[in-house]
Amino acid sequence: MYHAKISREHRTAFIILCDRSGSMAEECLLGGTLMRKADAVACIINMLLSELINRSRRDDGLKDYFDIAVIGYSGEGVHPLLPAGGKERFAGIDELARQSVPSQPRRLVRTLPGGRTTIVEYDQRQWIAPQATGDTPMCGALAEAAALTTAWCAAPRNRDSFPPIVLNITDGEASDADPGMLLAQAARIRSAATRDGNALLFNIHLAGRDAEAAPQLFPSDRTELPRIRYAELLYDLSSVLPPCYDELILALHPGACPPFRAIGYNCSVEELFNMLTIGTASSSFVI
Amino acid sequence: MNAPALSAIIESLLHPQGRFRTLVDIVPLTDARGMPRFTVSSDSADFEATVNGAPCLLRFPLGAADLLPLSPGPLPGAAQSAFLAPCRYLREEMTVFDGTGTPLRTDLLLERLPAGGMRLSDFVRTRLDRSGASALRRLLEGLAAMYRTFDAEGYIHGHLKAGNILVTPDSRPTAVRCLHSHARDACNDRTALLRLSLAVYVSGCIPPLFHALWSSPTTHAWLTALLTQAEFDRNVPLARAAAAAAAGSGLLPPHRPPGPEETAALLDSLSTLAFVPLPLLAALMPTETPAATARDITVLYTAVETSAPQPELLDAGRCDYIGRPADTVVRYRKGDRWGYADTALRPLTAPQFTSAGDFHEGRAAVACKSGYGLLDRSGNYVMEPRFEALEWYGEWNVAAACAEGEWHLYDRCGKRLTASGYDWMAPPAEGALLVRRRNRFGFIDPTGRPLTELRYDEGFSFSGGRALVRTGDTSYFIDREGERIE
Repeated sequence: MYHAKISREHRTAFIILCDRSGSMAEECLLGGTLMRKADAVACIINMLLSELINRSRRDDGLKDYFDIAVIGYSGEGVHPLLPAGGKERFAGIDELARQSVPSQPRRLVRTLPGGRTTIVEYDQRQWIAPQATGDTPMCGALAEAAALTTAWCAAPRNRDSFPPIVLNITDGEASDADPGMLLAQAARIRSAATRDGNALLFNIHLAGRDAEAAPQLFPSDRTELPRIRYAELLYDLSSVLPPCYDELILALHPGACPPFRAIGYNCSVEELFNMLTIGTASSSFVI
Repeated sequence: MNAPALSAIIESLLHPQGRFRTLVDIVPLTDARGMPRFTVSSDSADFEATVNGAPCLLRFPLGAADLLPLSPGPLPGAAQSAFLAPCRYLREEMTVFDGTGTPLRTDLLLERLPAGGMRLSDFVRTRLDRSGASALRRLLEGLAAMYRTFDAEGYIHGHLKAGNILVTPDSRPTAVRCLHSHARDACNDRTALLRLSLAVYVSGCIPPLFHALWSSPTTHAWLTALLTQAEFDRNVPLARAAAAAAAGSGLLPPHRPPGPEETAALLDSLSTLAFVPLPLLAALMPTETPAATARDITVLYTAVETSAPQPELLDAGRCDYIGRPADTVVRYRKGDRWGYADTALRPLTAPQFTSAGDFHEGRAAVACKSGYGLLDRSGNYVMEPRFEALEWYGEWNVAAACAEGEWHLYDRCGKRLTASGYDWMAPPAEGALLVRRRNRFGFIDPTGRPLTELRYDEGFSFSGGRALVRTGDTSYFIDREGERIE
């Protein structure tokens, strides 16, 4: 299980759920720059999409190894954020690379090993635009992800593929459902399966301004989380990670004890980056 | 440590200053958009670059770094042979920054490419006329010799294909991108070399079929057609070679792949066959791709073949000067006018400047009739040529420019950083620029922010963390905050 190599014939899928509610207007630091959480999350997702495109470059061109969907949820409802063609709301790598999207200049301050500081500037393509409005219809987003995951796994061409990864990034509690409804939708996602394994659901909770509890990434046990109802709910929503992730997580937390749960609670934006990097680590299983 | 993201590697290659532990003068080869050229395999990313002016491949790990087969490990004796690009494993060589700005060190494998080496298909394409026949013959002999050397030394490349073989101007093939972990099967090497040698041979026989032969989708079709032609001609060596290559691919019965001795004998016999017309093969082959007998491909190794039409190359013989690559761009001069070209000598600008500086961090200062300006790598102005003087300080990503007698500092996009102008400005030193207005000196930082007021009668740039200044008759040193150092 979870050993399938990714190829054009056997792609894998990444579904990213992005909280765009009003609280994402809070400020945070990313790479030393003060920005809104919404801007930081959009920036990290855009970086991730660029990375997946780069990873798919072979000497005879781009190869479609990944199906990617990004779904935003906010006061305006649940919406796909990638202008993907087709009913499945997935965009292929080639499609993403060809899309005409705006670029935004990013200016990064780098301190080199010798102590010298330099400024690096580059244009980041922006598939995802930041937004922060209204409520948090997380249950609707999970339901959408469950539908996408189920349909993707049911497609004959994906039967032997590495199963889909669903990454839910949020900074607050769901405003459209009670815990039971959320658990039901999460269970739908986790029960979707290919022959290589069940879909994996990561929940990444961004720290609020007044966060007091220490961040908890990939806990092994419920007792590692603060005794907060919502933290426990996110724990229950999330998948238990298969052993193929152990090495990466142990590099982050030496001495930790697998199996790990796919949850990050009270994460900084920088920890979100690490979570997403590990969450999409299956992208390195490309043949 | 987990391996770096590709975007982090790209950033460090585009801004190499201070990020490499031992390597110096690293210039990545870039595409028309200024992006480094690279390809990705399952476990590594290969970037084309020059190091100290020599063409190289820089291979970086992807995935979990420690698990990668990048370590040279037990390099076979063949690594020293003439048919393998020499490589060096450099541990923790390059600094990269992850998405959160945290610096990390990454290993890399440096593969030195043969000088003037062209990828196999380019070499063949540029030798498709009669005068190229002897070069193709030597190439076939070289491929046979390469196989014998690998076989004798027990070396398995595992990933031999047209893109991984470079050919020097004297027709010597060199295998690159060695040490691939997957598919290290000697049988793969054998059938790959057979297929490539057959493609070289058939290209020499029927030049108009070049594109159809070297584009992978038609590989199966031409091997089948070649077999038919060889059987029709009763050309036993050719028929055996085609059958062996096809069998190794699992295309045709018998499915027995060729053994080492058989392969060596077949490659030898291919290198002695005369280049003759093969009419049946030509008739059987799909002709959807136009013929090409380009003699104009003289570029160094390129890993990614673009389908876009290639711009005409600079005629080096007509230039009075061609500089060394700086930041992936070379300066050239025709008469009294300067221009820029990429490292493959594709012109980026016409020779239109009266003076032109080297590129550094993607920008260069140029001058034309209307004044000085700042150019980006694609040849567009980021600061229009309207200044009386302009200096680009790439290390600090700032330009100092003078208009109507006033100097201001500008960022790399041409945005003015200084609130008020100065009548003189020194180059940045240790993160500070000495400035002067109405005979009063002071210091500003590279963001244009004043570090001190303009309160000195004389000043000198920072050195060793301090700057000498004079007020009245008193000279003394100050630190970056302008505090006097006793």
